[in-house]
Order: sequence, then C-alpha cells, then structure tokens
Amino acid sequence: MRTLALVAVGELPKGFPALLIGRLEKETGMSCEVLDESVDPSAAYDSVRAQYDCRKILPLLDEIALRRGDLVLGVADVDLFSPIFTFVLGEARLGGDTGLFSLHRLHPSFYGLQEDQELLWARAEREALHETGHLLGLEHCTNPDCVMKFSASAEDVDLKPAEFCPACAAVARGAV
Amino acid sequence: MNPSTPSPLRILVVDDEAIVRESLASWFEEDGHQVKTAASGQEALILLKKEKWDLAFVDIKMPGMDGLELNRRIQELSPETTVIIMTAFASVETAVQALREGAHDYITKPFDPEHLSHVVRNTAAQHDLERENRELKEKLAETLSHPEILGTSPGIERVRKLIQTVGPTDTTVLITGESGTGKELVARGIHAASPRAFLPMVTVNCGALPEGILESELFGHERGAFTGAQYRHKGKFELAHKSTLFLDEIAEVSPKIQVELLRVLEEKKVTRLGGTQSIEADFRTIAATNKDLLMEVKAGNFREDLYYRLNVFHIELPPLRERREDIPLLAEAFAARLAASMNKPVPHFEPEAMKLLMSHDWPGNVRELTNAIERALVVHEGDIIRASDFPFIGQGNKAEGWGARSLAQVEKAHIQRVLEECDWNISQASRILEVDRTTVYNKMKLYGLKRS
Ligand SMILES: [Zn+2]
Ligand SMILES: [Zn+2]
Repeated sequence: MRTLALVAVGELPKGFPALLIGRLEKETGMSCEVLDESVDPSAAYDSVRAQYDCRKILPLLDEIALRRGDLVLGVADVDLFSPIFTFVLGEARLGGDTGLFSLHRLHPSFYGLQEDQELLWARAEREALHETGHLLGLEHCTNPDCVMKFSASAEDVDLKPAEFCPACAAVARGAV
Repeated sequence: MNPSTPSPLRILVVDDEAIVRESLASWFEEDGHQVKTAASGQEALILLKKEKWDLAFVDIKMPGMDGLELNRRIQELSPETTVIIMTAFASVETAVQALREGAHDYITKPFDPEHLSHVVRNTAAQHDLERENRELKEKLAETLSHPEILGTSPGIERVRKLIQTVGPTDTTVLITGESGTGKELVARGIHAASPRAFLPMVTVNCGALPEGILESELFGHERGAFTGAQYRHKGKFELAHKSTLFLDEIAEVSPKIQVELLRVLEEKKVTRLGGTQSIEADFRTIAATNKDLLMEVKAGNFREDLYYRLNVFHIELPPLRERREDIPLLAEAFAARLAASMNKPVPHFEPEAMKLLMSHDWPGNVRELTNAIERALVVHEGDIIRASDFPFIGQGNKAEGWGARSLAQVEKAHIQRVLEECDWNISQASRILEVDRTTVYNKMKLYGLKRS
C-alpha cells in the first residue's frame, strides 16, 4: 500500500504539516508521514503578481513522488495562483500523485481578523483532505456535508466537515 | 430544491487561448457541470446550433468573430443561454457594451474563483427558478381550466360571492351540500381565488379509504412504519405545504383519525407514522361533507372540537331542485362540453326536453344531470336532443314511486333507477345513494338487479 507523504513547501507555521497526519490517516485509511526534505518555492514566484504559480510547484513535487513511489501532498504558506485565477487555495492532479495547498488564505489574519490557531488547523485539515481526495480520484461532491464540496474561499471551507460523505468515502477506500 | 446544490449546468467556454479553455473546463467539470469548449466564434456557433446551453463564457477578444459579435448571435440564436463575457481589465468598456446587448455579466482575467463560482451558482439557481416558474405556470393553467361554477340563481350567486369573500384569506372552510352539488368545484374555486392558487390543491377523499391507509395518506409514514411500508411516504398535509388541502367526505373519518386531524389542524405540524420528528406544514384546509355534520356531532359520531375547528366559514350548496332556473344553462353548457370531447356537433334541446329536465327533482344533483345529458348525447339523433332521449326521467318520479308499496319494493326500484341513471356505474351510484359500494353490491344481489 502506498503512503501519503507530506512535504513542506517553504516555511510553515509551527507544528505543520505534522498536525495534519491524524486527520488524514483517520479519513483515508492510508499511512501518512512527514518528509525530512522540503521544497523551495522561490522559482515559482511571479514578481508581477507577487504570488506563487501553483503549476510551477507541482512539477517539483512530481520529482519526489516519482523517486519515492508515494502520493505527495505539498503544504505551503505562500499565496498561490494559477494562470487564469487570481488565487487558488490548492490544486491537485485528479487521480494523480501530487497535490498542493496553502495555508496563506486560511489564516484568519489574512482577512484582517484575530489570528486563531485552532481555526487555521481546522481549515488546513479540510483542505489537506480535499486535495488528497482528488489524488484518490474524487471529483467535487454536491453533498454539503462532504469535504469534497468545492470551496472558493476560507468561509466555504468552514461550512463543510473534515470528512467524506458515505459515497466519496467508498470511492476513497476503493482507491486506497 | 435545495438552494446549496443547484442542478448541473451545460456550459460552453469560448476562448482562443487554450489555457483558459482547459483550466475553466476542468474547473467546471470537477464541479459536476457538463462542459464543451470552442476556440473561435465560428466553432461556438456550430455547437450552439446543435445543442442547448445554459451558460456560455465568451472571450471578448478573439481573432475573426469577436466576443461582441458572438454575443449578439447567441442572443438571436439561443436567448435562453446566459452569456458571461470574459475580458482583460483593459477592455472592460467593450464588456459593458456587451451587457447592453444582452450579456448577463462579465468577469475579468485572471478570474476571482469566488466571483466565478458565485456567477455559476447564480446562473444555476436562476435556471432552476425559471424551470420551476414554467412548471408552476403549467400547473396554474391546469388549475384555472377546471370547470367554473355555472348558474345565475340567487342560491348560486350567493355561493359565488362567499367564494370570493373567503377565497383570498387563509380561513378554514366547511362546504356542505347533497351529493353531486359540486362541493369539490367550490373548493377549487376557493383555492383558485387564494394566493395559494399557483400550487395545485391537494385532495383526499376520506370516505374512499380504509382507516389505516387514510392515516398514512394524510400524515405520511417513515420506511418500515408498518408491514409493507417499504419507502418513506410524504403525507397529504406535507404535500399541501403552501397550498390547500381539501378533505372530502370528512364525516366518514374514524374517531382515531379525528383526534389526529384535530392535532395537526391546531399545531400545523405533522409527524409521519413511525417518525419522531414533527414537520411544519403551511396548509389551508377546506373540508366537505354531504352529511349534516352537527347532527353527526349530536349523535356522537363526530368530535365537537373538530367540528368547530372545521366550521370556521360555512358554505352550503343548494340542491339542484332548489335552483331549477339554472338547469337550462347547465344542460347547454354540459352538452356543449361533452359534444366537444366526443367530437360531435353541439346539439340543441327541444323545448319539451328542457321542460322535462326542469321538472325532474335530480336527487343526484348536477352530477346526475351531467350523466343524463351524457347518455342523451350518445343516443340522440340529428342535432336535437328530445325529451325521448331521457327515458328514465318522469317514469321514476311518477309510476315507479307509486307503483311500489312495500319498503323493499321502493328500495329496489330506487336503487335500480339510480343505477340506470349512472349507467350501472356502482361507485357513482353508491355516492348518490350515500352508501358504500359493498352495500350497493349486496342490494343488487338481494334484489337480483342486473343490467338488461
Ligand atoms: Zn477541489
Ligand atoms: Zn462527497
């Protein structure tokens, strides 16, 4: 069985990405580990947009996945974009090996609110699980009580639970 | 429809830039929508002619046919498609021009994911709403096409006025009147005059169903609530949410269901059989009976508290024999309607025929009159309906009634006459006779009544 490897992309707040392991293992049934190595995102920086291009970071994660034969989920704390969007919370190759998400827009402080570690953690768990779901072949789910429901914003993320609905759980288990 | 999960859309993405087409398409697809892409206006037009699209994302700057022109063509070709213009900040003015020409909105590149998902969700909700409206309009047309209450007699004018008075309110109405006087028609009239008219009225015939089935019809049941309850079932109270519930033959309801009815009418909440949750329902109640409900209360057959709960506003329908002046109008209207449904020319009544119809007592009221005319329409010759086309009228009033002396003889003759009037339709006869169908069967056996 393949494991899910968590990789830090640049600097992360204290405790990340190890804080995500419990939830990911519980919901996916995969074993999960944090890699010692990390990925430097600076090559993906776009000085005009002052953001990091998601699609330039994913290939760096692909290299690790290829070398290890694991699924790789990158965790960043920088503002991510993809060419046609002003920002993305995360991106993953559907049914592929690599995915990425960022804590940047999950911080309450990003919206001018009091920083809240618990809330950041709760949001990060959902985003991590959501992108992992894509790696397991799951598309977006219309069930509002499912972590695979699409979220365009941190507020959307707060509305869904940190778990799969029964239908998505069944697909995820099948893939694992 | 759950507002958080609108229906999937058919989306067309038109852009000469491959990255925009591919990124948007995979983004929408992941969200459960059906997507196709076109690299030019010409390509888009081919797809638009072939298939229906809910939503089209159109890039404003394309070589060849630009977004402005494509938008105009879409407005002509497929006005039900919602057009969203995609533009760079620099060309916002052109986008505004497109809005004047029927485009729904514009989004600037790069797209804000929140705004984009908002646009898509809004469009989906709007399309759902339009579909619902269409369905409602169809239902409304159906409701309005029901036959109106005909007649100019003071008795029927009064009924019509009462309907107009009480219709627009939420008041509970009790309609009484002999069998066949048109109580359901009055209920429909009240419903049609109410703000609830755009949803169909929900009807329950309380006399037609055994207690157990009536109970689950009214209140619904959860799966496994009783043997045979394989699926959960919504009750009529729930189905009448935002509409009107018409309880016909209310006097036939068992004491057990009377108690349950009273509770639901008071609380406006229903609990399905085998369920634990109570469900709120916003319904308006109209009840009808051919019995004297107050007599039933005095006889101990009907709960007094339920009687008062139902009898907030009372409409009494006059029997046809008390408004004989309406008979010609009714007869002609029925003849015209029935002839149309049989694809026959509309017949005229000879004066003798009309006189006969007006002299008859019509114990089965308007329903009996309709049946008599229907039969006459089948047997009549030429385009005139004659008195001889109503062979059963007259006979019954005179000869048979007085020829028979014993109670049994009178009963036999009466049942036979009603059966003949109903063309031996036992359900119909049982309604006119105000007994259940089994009784009609038993009496037919007892008296050896058969269709000759
Ligand atoms: Zn996703
Ligand atoms: Zn799901």
